[in-house]
Amino acid sequence: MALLLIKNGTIQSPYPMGKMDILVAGNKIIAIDSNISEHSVKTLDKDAAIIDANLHWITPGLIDTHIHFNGAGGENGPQFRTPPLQLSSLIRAGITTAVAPMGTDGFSRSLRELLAKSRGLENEGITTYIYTGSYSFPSVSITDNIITDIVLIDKIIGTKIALSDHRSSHLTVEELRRVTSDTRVAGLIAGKAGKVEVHMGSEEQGLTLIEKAVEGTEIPLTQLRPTHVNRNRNLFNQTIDFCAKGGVADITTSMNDAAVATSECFDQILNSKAPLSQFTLSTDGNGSMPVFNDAGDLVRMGTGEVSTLLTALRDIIANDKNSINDVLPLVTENAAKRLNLEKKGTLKTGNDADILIFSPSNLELQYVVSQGRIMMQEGELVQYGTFETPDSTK
Amino acid sequence: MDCILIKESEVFAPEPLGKKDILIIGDKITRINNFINSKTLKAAGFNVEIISGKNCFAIPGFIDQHLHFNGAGGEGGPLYRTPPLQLSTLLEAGITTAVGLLGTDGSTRSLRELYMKSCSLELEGLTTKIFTGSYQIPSPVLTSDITTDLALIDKVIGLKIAYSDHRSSHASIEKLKEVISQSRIGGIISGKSGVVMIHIGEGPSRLKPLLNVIKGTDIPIQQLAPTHLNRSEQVLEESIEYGKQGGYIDLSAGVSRKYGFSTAVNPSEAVSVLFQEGIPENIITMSSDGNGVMTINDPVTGNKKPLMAPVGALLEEFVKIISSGIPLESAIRITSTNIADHLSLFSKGRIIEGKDADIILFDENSLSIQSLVVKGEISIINGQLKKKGIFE
Repeated sequence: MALLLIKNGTIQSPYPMGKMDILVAGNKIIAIDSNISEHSVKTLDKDAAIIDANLHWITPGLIDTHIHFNGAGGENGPQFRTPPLQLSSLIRAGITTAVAPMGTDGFSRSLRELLAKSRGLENEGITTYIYTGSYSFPSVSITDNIITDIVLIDKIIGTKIALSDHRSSHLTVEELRRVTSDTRVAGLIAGKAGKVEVHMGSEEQGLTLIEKAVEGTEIPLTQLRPTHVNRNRNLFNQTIDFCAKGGVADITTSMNDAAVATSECFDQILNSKAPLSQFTLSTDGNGSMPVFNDAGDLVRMGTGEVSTLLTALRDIIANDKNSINDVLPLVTENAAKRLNLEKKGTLKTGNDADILIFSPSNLELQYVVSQGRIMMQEGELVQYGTFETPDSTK
Repeated sequence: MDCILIKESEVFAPEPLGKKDILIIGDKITRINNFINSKTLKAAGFNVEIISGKNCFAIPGFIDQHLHFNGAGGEGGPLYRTPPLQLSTLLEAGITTAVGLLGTDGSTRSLRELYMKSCSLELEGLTTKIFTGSYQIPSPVLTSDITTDLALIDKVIGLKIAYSDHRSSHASIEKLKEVISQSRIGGIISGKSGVVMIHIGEGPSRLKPLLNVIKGTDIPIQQLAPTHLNRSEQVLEESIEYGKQGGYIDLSAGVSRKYGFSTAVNPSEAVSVLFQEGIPENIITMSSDGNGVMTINDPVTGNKKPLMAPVGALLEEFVKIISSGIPLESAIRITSTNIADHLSLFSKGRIIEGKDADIILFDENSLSIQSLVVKGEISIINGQLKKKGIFE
């Protein structure tokens, strides 16, 4: 079995650790130290890969907690169903852990297909999870209900639901409380996060349903995580208050023009009472991005870009290089904590070897290591999905 | 990070490799070499735990493909339900991979409970899988059907049924074909073996229905794993014919005269019989049937009496096999390698670089377990148990 030694990189664990070497064996980080002997590593394994990361940034692999890797959409008809993602698009985006929900269409789209796709991507080399449910209520499930899904299916770690959206089921506070309770109990039984992933729409009530759902119960506010909270200014302002009160929220990096840009969200958080630790970024990648007019008619259709997690990082760091210390946890450590992914999100001994190496000038991705395997080398893909070739991914 | 260095054991992969050092990093066998220097490891940043393998065989951990780890029985009423096993029982028996299943009682016993028990043993350090179904046809399932169980539930690798037994459902050959097909398709879809573990009883049809299924379809005979084939001379006799057609023969270590199964052929003796009959060693497997129970009427008292198959029987029979003059390599294949191959457990059953670090250090003099490494964790050292289950 091959060893991998990454020399002299500037480590962001996501926090700054200075210049260090990282040793990887199998799918784990074995050691992070100031000087790991290259000679010793070569003696142990003459085929060991050595990467010189001098003057490069090293970060944990990105965790995208909301990405439609098996396709989404279907609003306005079947021609708007986005196709499944292939491995290369995730690797190019630096995503080594992907968590997928279903969207509007929980009826013709299938959780079983989502589960099979998640296993496929896992076999191809990244780490994946899924949410049960979809926008609608009662939640669709693979087994009897959302509880048995979370308990019996290894990859299911929470439930998806939509609120305050014209495409939601407009469920009542009591119904939302029930979904949250079921998800929480299932998480306790299974030893998983058991979080409710809440798609937020534009309806004026915004997050109040979430607050009402946990009011008067022992359920922590953090059991639900609203996403797409930068959909519009009002919702984001409300989110800042929500997170200052202990809530958690997720900002979508691929939102269209009407939304608050990720870098703007970041600045607003920094100037607020809401701690950064309450926030995560996700792509909503591969989701269809319909734009509706006031009458509720579809005006045009776009797709959530998988690469936007990286571009959002670049945008924020472009203003101030030091802000990497603040923003990187939002796509690594915070995301892992939110979903109880214990071996993910930080570079430390014993954790999964999901590692990115960036050129520092423009934050260009040079290496992607996922589960200890080099997937991208010197900016070029070296691993492909089962149905991809070097030509098909150009 | 810690690593484990096993020094100077006689390694059997199962093939004899000679005296080697074995390096374990994380849960994998990283390196096997004549000499691995612990100082080099320390220089590379490791904390090295050295285990002496002197006077020991290093062999792959046992893979028990028929273990009632969540309890079994219930024949004769609820008094005779065996309780779930605890981790230490499996470790002391050298079992590093266990496949759990239901038995006679697919009505009050639950596949969901079995699944959760398998998850809990896995979290405690072992590798576990389960078969869906029970003795009955139609099979009880976790989801909607056999194929879906295999396709959707990570731990389900195949199907359990019973045939030629008074406790079976006496399903028709057509029904038997159907359930075997469903398991096979589930295996194909999910990239698992989809093997059908078939409890064979004392019924006069014995293995004939299985041969009928194979004759009438193009399902390979290796899709099936008939078990308890040492339960009587007659069944063993037929299994010789079955084996000559290429079918796997699974013997039950816990079904021996020693444990009250009066008509059984002792498992290690059955291995000798199969060898003498020229059955290839790569289709002979042994499982414990551990924690399984059968209730008989005691001829003396007239009372009900449970016959238990102990978990440790696999280790006992392993020792008997090698003591009978059969090569160690063959005994390893029968208790580990062949099962890994049959069940498509690709990271198991061999001491080769890159495979899971499930290793028994077997004292070559006392023929007992000296040390045990399970998925890279030291579980027994110098004969002392180092790990326990949560409730032990």
